[in-house]
Amino acid sequence: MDDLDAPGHQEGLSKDDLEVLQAFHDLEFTTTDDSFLIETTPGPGTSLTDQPDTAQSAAFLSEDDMLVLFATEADEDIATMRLAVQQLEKDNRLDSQGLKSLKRCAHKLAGTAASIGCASMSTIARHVEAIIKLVEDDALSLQTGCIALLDSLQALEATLHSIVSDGFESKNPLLQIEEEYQRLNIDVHNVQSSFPEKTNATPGHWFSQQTGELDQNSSHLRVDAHHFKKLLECVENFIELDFPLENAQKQVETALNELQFAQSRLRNLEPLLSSMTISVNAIPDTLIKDAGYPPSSLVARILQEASKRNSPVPQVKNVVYTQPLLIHEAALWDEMEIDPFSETNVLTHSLTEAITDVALATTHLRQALLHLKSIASQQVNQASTIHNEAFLLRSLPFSFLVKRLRTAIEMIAGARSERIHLEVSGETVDINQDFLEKLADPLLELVQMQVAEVLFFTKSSEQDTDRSSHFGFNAHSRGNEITIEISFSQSVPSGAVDLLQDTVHHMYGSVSLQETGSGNISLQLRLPRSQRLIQGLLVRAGNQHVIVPVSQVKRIHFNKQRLNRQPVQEKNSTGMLHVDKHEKYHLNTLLGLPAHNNTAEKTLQTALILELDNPSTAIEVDEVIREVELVMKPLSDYLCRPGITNTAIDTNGAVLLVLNLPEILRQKDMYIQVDKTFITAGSASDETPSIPQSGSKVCRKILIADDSIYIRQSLHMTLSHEGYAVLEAIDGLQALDQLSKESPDVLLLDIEMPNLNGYDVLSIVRSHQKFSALKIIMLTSRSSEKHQRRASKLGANAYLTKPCPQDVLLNTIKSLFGDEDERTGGQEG
Amino acid sequence: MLPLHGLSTNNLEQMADEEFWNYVRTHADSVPRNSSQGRSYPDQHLECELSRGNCFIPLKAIVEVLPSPQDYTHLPLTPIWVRGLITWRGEAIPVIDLDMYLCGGPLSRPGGIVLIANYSDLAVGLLVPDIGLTTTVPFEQVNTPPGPTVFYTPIRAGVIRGAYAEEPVLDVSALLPDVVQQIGMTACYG
Repeated sequence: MDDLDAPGHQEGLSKDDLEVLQAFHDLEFTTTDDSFLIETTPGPGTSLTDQPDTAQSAAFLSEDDMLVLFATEADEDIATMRLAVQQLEKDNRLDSQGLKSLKRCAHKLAGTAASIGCASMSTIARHVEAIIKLVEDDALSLQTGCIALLDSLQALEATLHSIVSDGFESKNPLLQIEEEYQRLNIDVHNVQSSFPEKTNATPGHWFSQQTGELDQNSSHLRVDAHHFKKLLECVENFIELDFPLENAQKQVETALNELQFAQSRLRNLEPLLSSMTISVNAIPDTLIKDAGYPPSSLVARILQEASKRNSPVPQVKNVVYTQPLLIHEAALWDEMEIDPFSETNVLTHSLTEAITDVALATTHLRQALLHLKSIASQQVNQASTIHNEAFLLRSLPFSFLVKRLRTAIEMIAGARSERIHLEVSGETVDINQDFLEKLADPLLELVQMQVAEVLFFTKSSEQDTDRSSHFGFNAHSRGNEITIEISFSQSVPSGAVDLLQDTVHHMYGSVSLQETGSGNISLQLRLPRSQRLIQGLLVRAGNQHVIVPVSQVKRIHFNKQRLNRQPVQEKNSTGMLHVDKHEKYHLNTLLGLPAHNNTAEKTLQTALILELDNPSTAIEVDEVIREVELVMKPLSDYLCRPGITNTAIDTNGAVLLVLNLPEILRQKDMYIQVDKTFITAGSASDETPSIPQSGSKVCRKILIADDSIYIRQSLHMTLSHEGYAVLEAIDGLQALDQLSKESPDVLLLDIEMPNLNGYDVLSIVRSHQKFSALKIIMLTSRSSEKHQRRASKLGANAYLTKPCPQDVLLNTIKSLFGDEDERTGGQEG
Repeated sequence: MLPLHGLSTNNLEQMADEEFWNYVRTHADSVPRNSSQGRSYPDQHLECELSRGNCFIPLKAIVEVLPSPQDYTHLPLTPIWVRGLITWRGEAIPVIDLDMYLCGGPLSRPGGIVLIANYSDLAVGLLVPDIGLTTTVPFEQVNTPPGPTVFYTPIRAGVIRGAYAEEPVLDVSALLPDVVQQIGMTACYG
């Protein structure tokens, strides 16, 4: 790319080509992601200090080397700017190519100089940008501007000269040029540049502002006025339910009090009733005659007489209750000349009343509860509406993202943008702002890749055809799910799925490839509508229930054939079954749960076919119970597992893991490996390590774990020079982290370190089968035999004491791989 | 479970009503409102019965005592002594088999009691077969641990504060961070 920047080269290009290149350069400053195709190979135009991984380059480039590199680059930039100013003077118009070129070079130089610490050069370059801005804004005449620019370029040259010849940056040229600006009445300090000067904003941030990107760091939220109004209405309705709810609660309380009162009245009668019952039981049978009327009672006698005259006998209610009482009461009270019949009547009446009161109070309570339930239900519905409205408040139409994509295409394609057509549908579909923001970067990158493919890498014969390229973006929502379909008239760019997969999986969504009607391939992104509310399948694996997001499942497969009638299926070492065209895993295996029962008794085989690109994957489960909608709660950091970062709570209060199956599948080796080593801990394991060992690697990786920066740097230099790839860790914990991520071949381990010391690390590493091939060299200032014995006992391969001569260290490392390297033909150096 | 301050149940029975209620009122005021604070009883410890003997856990670190649930939610990639997850106050927290954690023995039999221990906003359930009484363990009488015994493996020596009446006293401030660190590390390193 940098060669193309040279003026000489630019002269050989057409106007269109120059515009395209110009647009790319503009975009270069406006793209946050350094993985953009054009930028993947760092050229001389990119400051090495800006490269993300300086560890490797730092090992080969000294500070002087980097300074020389900068000086060469700055010299070229100044020369280009000088040519551009001359062109500007010659053209004497603002739309000159020279102005654009000048602007680009000034901005680049300002950034590079600042990154290497040359503040004066950076400031002068920014002054150049300011002057261009003044000229563009008509605040400065072109002629005066050109004079100021040429003077600025001289100042830049003088400053660069001081850096190269004296080894430090002189500030005099800057002071002189600022005096010159004053003389020319140019105020460069109050110019609002088109770029974010002297701020912490990144070029990507500027691009965000230009293309309407949301600022994630901002505490403000864009809200749709319509949704906001609706939300307010819902909240008001919710508040209005407060009074009816309070009333309903009071009614329940009143009914409860009533019931309690009735119960207590009933309870008060209980002792009297009990004592009567006991006494009755004690009365001899002889006392009970005829129809049960007490013979000695006056009233009873009257009644008996009446009965004899065949007159109707006055019956009391609940004769079943009263009969024995009458007898009993009569027997007791007759002797006292008190008519007991009225007492029992009163008691009976009271009892009847109490029972009626209880029944009535129960009915009242039931009614009050029903009313309360109805109000509570209304409130829940209203809360749900508020939630939905609040969700919509956090959403933006899909067009918001489309606008950014369109801008990006126009910026890249420039004059050739007519060759790229953007077809959009579903622009009004509301999508969560966070999702839009997360999707923006990979989609922009995808678009950039595809535009570059169309404009630069398509064969000229294909370009000659009239057929233009198009992108299709279609969004639609269904229930709690959003689908974004991205189609291309060209083939899908390689790596497109990988590019999007991480982002989409983190949103509990899925990416799949679909064949369109026209024979092209489209990418389909399925996402849940909300980050917190999950629409999932409640699935049983063994005796555990888990949630699988609906958006990750393509379909549910039920095999009605008996398993024992099927051909024997091969099961490989990773626990994977090959059935039909699917790679098949059992969820129990992935989660380390007890093996599923796949005996002949099992008649149904249920599997979730996932939304993944080729190969299609099936996850066998024991049962798909139902579809549920649950609120997700994030797990504490230490409980998070790959693909398991959220939980939900079921109605019984049990924890349900929300599974991100594509992520779990990606880490399946880890799950299955640990299943073997941890879950079955206690049994001897003869499994081979899952991490590929170093035999086939081009160069060996060495991890230095030491808390001394000097030691790390010194070892880094030595080992890098010998051709080893070097990693560093500042303490024991970081060492374990690096070991897990990078799988180095050798660990140079200090003993005294913060967090976990060397012995801790050694102990942990040696207790894991997966690190069995790792060579560990203790490199410590502890020289006593006691330490050496301990390290050896814990499994260290070698023990070196500081300060350690380079040749001893290198020979030790080589000796550890002696046999292996002989077999592989040697790899060091 | 609260101490009777030297009084036996017989003493209480012999008290007159007024005397009894006065006694109750006096001591009711001295009971901490929130058991998790437990500032009034810094040296109160709960005796827990484990398979290889008893141990003491500081009462101030225990915020709730629950019966062991029938089922735990299995979390993959965890050390073998993690029984699983339960919901406590709306959050998913791990429950560890204390017996297994300390001495690496076999899983405890089903049932038991879950002690919710809290330290520096870390809440972890400690599953123990049974609990005994609370005992005052004066700090000055906690001896240096005699070294690894059958009760705990050498790797757990750091979570034992010392021994009292020949029974280990657990240091919850070391135990909980260790549990959390090990659970976290297992996910990273398998």
